[in-house]
Amino acid sequence: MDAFGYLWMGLSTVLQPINLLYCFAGVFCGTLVGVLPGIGPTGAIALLLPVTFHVPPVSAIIMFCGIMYGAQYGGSTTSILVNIPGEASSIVTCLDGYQMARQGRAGPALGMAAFGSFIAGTGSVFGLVFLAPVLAEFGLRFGPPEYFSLIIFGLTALLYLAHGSMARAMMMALLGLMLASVGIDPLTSYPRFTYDILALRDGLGLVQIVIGLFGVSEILITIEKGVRRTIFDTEIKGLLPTLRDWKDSILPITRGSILGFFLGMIPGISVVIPTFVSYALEKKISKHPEKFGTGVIEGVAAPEAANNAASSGTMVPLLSLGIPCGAASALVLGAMMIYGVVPGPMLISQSPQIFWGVIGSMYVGNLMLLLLNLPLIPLWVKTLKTPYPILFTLILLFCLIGSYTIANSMTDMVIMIIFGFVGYLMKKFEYEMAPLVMGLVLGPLMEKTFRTSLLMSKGSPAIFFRRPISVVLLVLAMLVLISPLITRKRLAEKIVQAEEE
Amino acid sequence: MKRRTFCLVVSILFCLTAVCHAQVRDYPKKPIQILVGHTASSAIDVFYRLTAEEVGRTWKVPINIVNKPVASGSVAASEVANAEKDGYLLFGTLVGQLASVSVGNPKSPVHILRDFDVIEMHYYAANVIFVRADSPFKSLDELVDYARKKPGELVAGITQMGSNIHLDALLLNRLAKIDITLVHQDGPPEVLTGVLGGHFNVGWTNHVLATPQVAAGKIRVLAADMKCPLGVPTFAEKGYPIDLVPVMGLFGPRGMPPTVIKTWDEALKTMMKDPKFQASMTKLNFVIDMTTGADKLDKLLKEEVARYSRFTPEELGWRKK
Repeated sequence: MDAFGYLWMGLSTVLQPINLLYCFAGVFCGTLVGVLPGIGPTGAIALLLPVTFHVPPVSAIIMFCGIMYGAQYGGSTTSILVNIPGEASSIVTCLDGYQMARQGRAGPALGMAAFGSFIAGTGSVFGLVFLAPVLAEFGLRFGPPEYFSLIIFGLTALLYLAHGSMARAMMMALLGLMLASVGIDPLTSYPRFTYDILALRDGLGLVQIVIGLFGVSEILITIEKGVRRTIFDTEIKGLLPTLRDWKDSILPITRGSILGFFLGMIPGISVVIPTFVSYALEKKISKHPEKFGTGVIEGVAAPEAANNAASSGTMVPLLSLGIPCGAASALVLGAMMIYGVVPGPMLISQSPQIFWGVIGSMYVGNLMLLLLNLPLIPLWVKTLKTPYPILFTLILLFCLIGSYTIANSMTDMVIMIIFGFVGYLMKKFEYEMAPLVMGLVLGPLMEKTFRTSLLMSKGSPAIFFRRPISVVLLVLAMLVLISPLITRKRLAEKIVQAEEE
Repeated sequence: MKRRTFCLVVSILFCLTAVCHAQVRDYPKKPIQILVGHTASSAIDVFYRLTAEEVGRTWKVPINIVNKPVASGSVAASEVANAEKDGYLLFGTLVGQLASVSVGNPKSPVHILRDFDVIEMHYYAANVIFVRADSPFKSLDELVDYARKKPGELVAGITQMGSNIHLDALLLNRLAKIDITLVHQDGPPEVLTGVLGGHFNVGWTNHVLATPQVAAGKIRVLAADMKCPLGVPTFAEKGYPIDLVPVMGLFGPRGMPPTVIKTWDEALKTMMKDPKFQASMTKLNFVIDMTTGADKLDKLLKEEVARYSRFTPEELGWRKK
């Protein structure tokens, strides 16, 4: 049977009513946990795990995968509407999405996020079908030195994430890297900066900090401004993207999808980093980079496509090698073992029904998500008309629940609240949050891979320059760093020209 | 009159059944909670979830699993150690982790021998050393020989500091007098990635996770620290007594009523004989060897603690203060 034959088998598996039902349940839960800040796919899967013990394995795995990519659809909703990312992978969406909402264009932003996710989701299904086995082997070629160079490359995205002062953005990124070093040392297991607080041994969790920095601080700021939100005053213009929006977005969506898929399938990169890189890429090649951050639709479309493609990309090592990347896919892997499905390189040949069933379900699931999310847009836009005292109480409640459910720990709630106040001060003094989060995401990976590489090479940094993939990435990073010197000159000429006219 | 007698008889019967019932159901009378210091769907979580379901069904009482992975389960350990001694809050853990923190960390709030009553302990998997399928090392001897000839050249991917796998790898270095560089990774998946990608010469994992990779011809397992279905020689057979086999255990706070432990004991014995439960363990590739009963457990627990006492606090991942 060729790939199409198998795909047909997968589709006929998922089109059985029971599997359709579980697929829908999965994407519905996914959207829901995506929308709710703090509660992520990992928590949802963990909660549902015991319920699925008596469900056929294919159906259960289809449902869990539905939660994983469904969350990427839902995550953008609150980013756009209230500037609070529903998932860590939707942080970048806040930058332009929220500005669009303030201009009354929440509808098009939400619509483009959904379409972008759909295009990325279905596109990467084909990537999975035709490229999974080949790509999986390629992903393995990333050892610690390659990761380190990739992260150095990722850090250059910082240049494009900030739209205010670059010095302040650097400070925040550095603060992020510093916060990332709290917890046990990844190589020696010695506790660092934990002050004998047991819960700090695990470090400061990304999700708690993100909910605090974005969610709680946004609420504090809004309350301070007085309870009436400026956003209501703007007229809501259109609920769906216009032709112009499509023209602006289609290429960014394509680029975001490809980038997200390839980065997602490298074990350990997961879904957050691709969104940063894809936003940076769009800003870099855009004709009007100065408009990023003021509500351009590319800034929503590209990262939303990237996070969805990345969540499909993480399926590549999971299904073809049995290697999970990220907490959510580790859970799915464990779940497979409970059902007696052995994850690993033999999955495709031993349980083709599961492999192709899951892939078929991703196609159907993405369609369901689009049909589910488009009619919801007017509803979401209307939620902005909810009296703010009710809205913020609910948001705060979900933030608290979300941070608690990560590890059933009170300390996480405290961390979230503290970072709420930190975020409030940062907003007051105009420090940006995205660079901080980026430092926090990249910090632990960077430290671990750097030190592991040096251990492997007995202390010689030459290891980063001896391996081809690593060299390519370092050169790319170098190019990105020096390119503003060239483009800035051109930009300056342009401004002078415009002024003369 | 007849009617009154009837009422009396019925009410006496009711009382009797109530008394009988109460006698049968001394424990458990309400839902039980088992804290697990690991994330959902980890091996230990899976085992206690299946146990909870099986035992809960027999007792007709819900047994809930709560994951508290904070600080490698230390928070969950203290919570159970200080809980009401009634058997309604229990702790499912890797015994090694609890033993390691007890002997290695002088500031540990809990001690495995002082603060806990143990209900059961069992082996479920063997730790194994493996290489990529195309590696020149066909056996443990070849690997050790090479490591002796070229000191410091080999790099091994292992799990976190103080884990069973790390200590096993340390012992191999120590007993075979070799110095394979040990690189700590977050967990077995990262080790596997590193070995498959050719970044590490050797890796350590457990037989459950190695089995599918062996079946696919991706890796070769050289030795295991306990007999396992992979049919590879054990380290002991090769002359290196390496024995930090992962052990799971169910613990309650010290001083629980004997009936609690006895009730669990009986339920677990029945569960282990249940073919359906055995089948689900086989599906998971687990090889369960369970010990119950106070005397045997006491001995086993002391042996386990002694195994970890051979290492310095630094090796166990705790800084000496």
